[in-house]
Amino acid sequence: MPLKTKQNLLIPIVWFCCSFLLNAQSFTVNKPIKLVLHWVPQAQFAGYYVALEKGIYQKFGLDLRIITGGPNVSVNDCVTSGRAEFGTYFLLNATKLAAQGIPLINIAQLSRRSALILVAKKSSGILKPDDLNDRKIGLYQEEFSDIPLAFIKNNSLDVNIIPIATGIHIFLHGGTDVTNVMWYNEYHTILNCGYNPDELTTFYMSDYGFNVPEDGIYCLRSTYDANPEVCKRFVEATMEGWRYAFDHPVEALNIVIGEMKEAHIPANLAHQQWMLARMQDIILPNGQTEFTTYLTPDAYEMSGKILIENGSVKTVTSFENFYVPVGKYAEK
Amino acid sequence: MLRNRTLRFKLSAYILTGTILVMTVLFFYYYSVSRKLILESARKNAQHLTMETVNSIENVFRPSAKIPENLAFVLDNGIFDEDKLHCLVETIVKKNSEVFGSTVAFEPGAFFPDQQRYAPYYFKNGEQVVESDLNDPAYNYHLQDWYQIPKELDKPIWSEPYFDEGGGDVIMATYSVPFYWPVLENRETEFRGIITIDISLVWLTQVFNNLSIYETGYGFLLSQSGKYLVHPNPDDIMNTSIFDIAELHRDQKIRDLGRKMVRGETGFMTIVDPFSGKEVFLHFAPFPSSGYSMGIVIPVDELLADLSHLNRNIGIIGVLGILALFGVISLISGRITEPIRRLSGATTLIGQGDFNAALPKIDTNDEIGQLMHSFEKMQIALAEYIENLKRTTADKEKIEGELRIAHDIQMSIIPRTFPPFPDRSDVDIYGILESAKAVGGDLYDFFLLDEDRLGAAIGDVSGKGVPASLFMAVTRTLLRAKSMNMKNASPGKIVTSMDIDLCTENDASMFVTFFYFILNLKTGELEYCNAGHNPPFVLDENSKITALDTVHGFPLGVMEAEPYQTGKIMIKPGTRIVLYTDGVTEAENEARELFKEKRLLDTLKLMKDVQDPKEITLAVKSAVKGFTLEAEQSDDLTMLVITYLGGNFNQE
Amino acid sequence: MELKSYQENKATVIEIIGSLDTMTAPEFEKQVTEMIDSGSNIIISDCNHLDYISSSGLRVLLMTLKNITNKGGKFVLFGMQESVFEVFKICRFDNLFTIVADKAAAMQSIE
Repeated sequence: MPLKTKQNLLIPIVWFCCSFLLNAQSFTVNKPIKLVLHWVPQAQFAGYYVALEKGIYQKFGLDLRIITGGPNVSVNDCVTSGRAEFGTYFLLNATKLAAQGIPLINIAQLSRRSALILVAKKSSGILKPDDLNDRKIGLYQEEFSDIPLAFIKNNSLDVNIIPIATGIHIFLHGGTDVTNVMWYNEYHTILNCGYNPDELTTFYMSDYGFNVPEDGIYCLRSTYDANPEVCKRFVEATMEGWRYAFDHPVEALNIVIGEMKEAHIPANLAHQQWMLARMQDIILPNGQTEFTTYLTPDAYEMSGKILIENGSVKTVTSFENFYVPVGKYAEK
Repeated sequence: MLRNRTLRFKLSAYILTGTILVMTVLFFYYYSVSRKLILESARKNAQHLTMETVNSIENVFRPSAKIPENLAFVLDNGIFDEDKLHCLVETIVKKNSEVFGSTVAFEPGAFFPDQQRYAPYYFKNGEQVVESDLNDPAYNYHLQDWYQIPKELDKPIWSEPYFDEGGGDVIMATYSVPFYWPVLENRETEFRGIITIDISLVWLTQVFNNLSIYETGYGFLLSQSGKYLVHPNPDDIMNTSIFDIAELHRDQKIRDLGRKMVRGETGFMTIVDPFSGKEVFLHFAPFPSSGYSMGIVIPVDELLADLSHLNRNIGIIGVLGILALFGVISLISGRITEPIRRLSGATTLIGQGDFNAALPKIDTNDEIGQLMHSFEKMQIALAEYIENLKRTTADKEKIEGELRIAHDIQMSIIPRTFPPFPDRSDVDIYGILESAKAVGGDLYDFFLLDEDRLGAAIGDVSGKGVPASLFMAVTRTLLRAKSMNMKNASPGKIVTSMDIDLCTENDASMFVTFFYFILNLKTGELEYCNAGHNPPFVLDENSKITALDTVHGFPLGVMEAEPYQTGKIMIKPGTRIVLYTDGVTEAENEARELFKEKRLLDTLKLMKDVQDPKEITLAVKSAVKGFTLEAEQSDDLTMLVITYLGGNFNQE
Repeated sequence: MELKSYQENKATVIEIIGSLDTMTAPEFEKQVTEMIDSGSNIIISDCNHLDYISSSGLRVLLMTLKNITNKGGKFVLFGMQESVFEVFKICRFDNLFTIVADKAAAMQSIE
């Protein structure tokens, strides 16, 4: 009897302690996780939207919300303020921020190659880098201009830089001779304003020694340290979302376009179709079938080198400080 | 294949085939010409409509463009004070109904040297004109297309259409004109800023909606970059470009069309509309002032709808026509063939022997009628002919019947019972007469003049048939008569007497070759007379064969000449006398060879030891028959063989 | 049987070709009677091609002979074949008719 009483009491106590511990874990897990994307909804982020829509995040035990990005949303502000646990950044930009002291880590490098292109019309006489001398180059501000500027410096070109902010129309009208575009985005816009690829001269930055990949998933180091499991599940769920998107492009596009309509963004099927296809070329280049989210030290080094050379930063943080392999796709 | 078909089938096949061919050729010709005319007319319509629309729209764009251009002229002259500037801008908006908003946006420091951005902006808000500016650093107007593009291009430009910020659904476009202030130091001018007006493009949509392009045609409008500004499908407006459509439908033709339109070309093409999947006519032209372009789309099937309808009706009428034609052909061919068929039926009856079968009555004068008349005449002639034939046949049969009787009579004149004197053993006789025709001109005769004397004769009347037989009868009668009357006369005398009678009243120049002998059966004395007849053969008791060669005169009845002589020989018992006519020696075979005396002689040689006259006769007959074989008998075959046995033993 | 005729001096020459028998005799009779009726009463007959003669043929020649003789004319036969002459001989017609060897002799005999 006394033992029983003890046992009687013990069981509920043990149960309560265990459940408390378990709940502590699940409490952390069941809290909504937020991802902030670095631009408005488009097929560039198809994997995330698909993973959300198809309940993949849910399957992985995550209650994920997406914070829509755009011109008025700073991804970095969201992440550093804690409004979002995860954010998408370009590698170059993230390198700069990390060098400036923000405790940002890359937990998955999705983009495997640079998608940055400098485009000119053949009819303007520009066929090789030297032809860029004395020509007007339209460059976006901020993070988009670092690499083109490095390219210009590398080729000792004397150019007339026109800052641009709105798009490719100034280029189409002839207000600039060269403009920088993303392969998956503005390049297609140019094509679908009536220019055939054989009428354009393209300088892929990846061909000129500036193959710095772009999109990656980042979070604060503290976030990772507190919840490595969540990070792992998030990355893996995201990649599964991308897998589904690539395998079911029509459905994925429907989901993306649905998101765009909700955000009152003009949704153009042809453009999104191109974008999704190029994202596949970027995330699974050279016909690869297996994902890799591993950030190569070379890419990080190149990224750092560019920033140091153009004076944006003095030094960059170490590779180990910057990148943490997370999830099963992070094998070398 | 056609040869054995009915007339109706043949007529139908030829006429219908010909008609269908002609109709088909006609139809295709008319169809292709009509089609061409319709499409050509539609093309012209599309062209006119496009030009009209372009003109009416340009009539809004151009005047609107003048407004900031005029202000630019004004501003080109120099610095204005702020109030004047504001006034100018406000007036532009107030006084021009189509202008929604206007600004004069300056280069950094171009108006106030210390101010980066200076752009007073006035716009309509309902009835009011509201003052504002575009100085928000976040907006950064210097990097906006409406500022940057004309600045970099040094020329005025219409913007890409955009949605109005405030309203949301209103499509706007901005016309930007750069202005330049002179540089005080020299004669050059320097870019100072951009003057803009914003106008709503809603009226554009209305113009297009009011276009009446047949029932299912429509017009569409593209921006400078090919984006749809007006389109029947609202989802695509301001969202999709013509190049997007081309990419989604993998249609290179549409992409090429887009490129042409965006580059300001005018043209016409036939293309498959990706939205409806139907073939359409498309006429496109640019708006010179704005760089936009438009197209007019006309579905071909609507153009040709009426034609298709007409075709269908013609097809139905054609088919009915063919059926009617077929009916008419059947009717006509029936009318033609009906009398022919009846005639054919009547002819069959006639052919079966009913010569009076009724011919169908036809009272037309066409070929069928004439055929009928000819047929009637033929039928009558045929009936007459048949009647004649029947009569002639009847007559012939009658004659033949009479000839048979005559033959019987003639044969009864000739002794035909053998042996003729069965109770006498001193002589045996056998004879044959096979006439070539029913009645003939050959004769033989024999009779006992008295107990001891036998008279025998053979003769051949010139010619054949009834005349010869009559003459033969007369000759035979004369022989018997004379022989009886002149009992003891010699053969010569008897023959002479016969000749005299025969020569009288003989206009026909008939004659008879004649041989007569009298044999004394007791003594063996043979007296003979030959009037132009074949010499008989004598086979004596020693089987030697000789001919009684002597001829005593002309055949009987030729002319009265000298009296005939009589020849005389003695024969022994066992002697055979062979009398014959030229029916034996001139018997012909199919090769037209004659039997000739030689063969007769050869046969008699074979019989030289034979006593029986019958055997000898039949042997010769057999030889002749074996010679002539299938050849027709041309002359009477007559023979008489007398075997003298001698030694008369009277048998009481 | 074919009968050809032509004038030579004052004689009518007839050529008898073929056979003169029951079938052909009537034709001979008709043609020659016509000739005689139209005045030719000096007739010499070429028998070179007369292959055969039957009693009908003899009869019709006899008639011709009688006819011409009654009109005071002359009828001569020449060039007769051996076999045909035999028949004439049997009937003793070789004594009745004037039969010579050839045309020359015939022409001479009618002088």
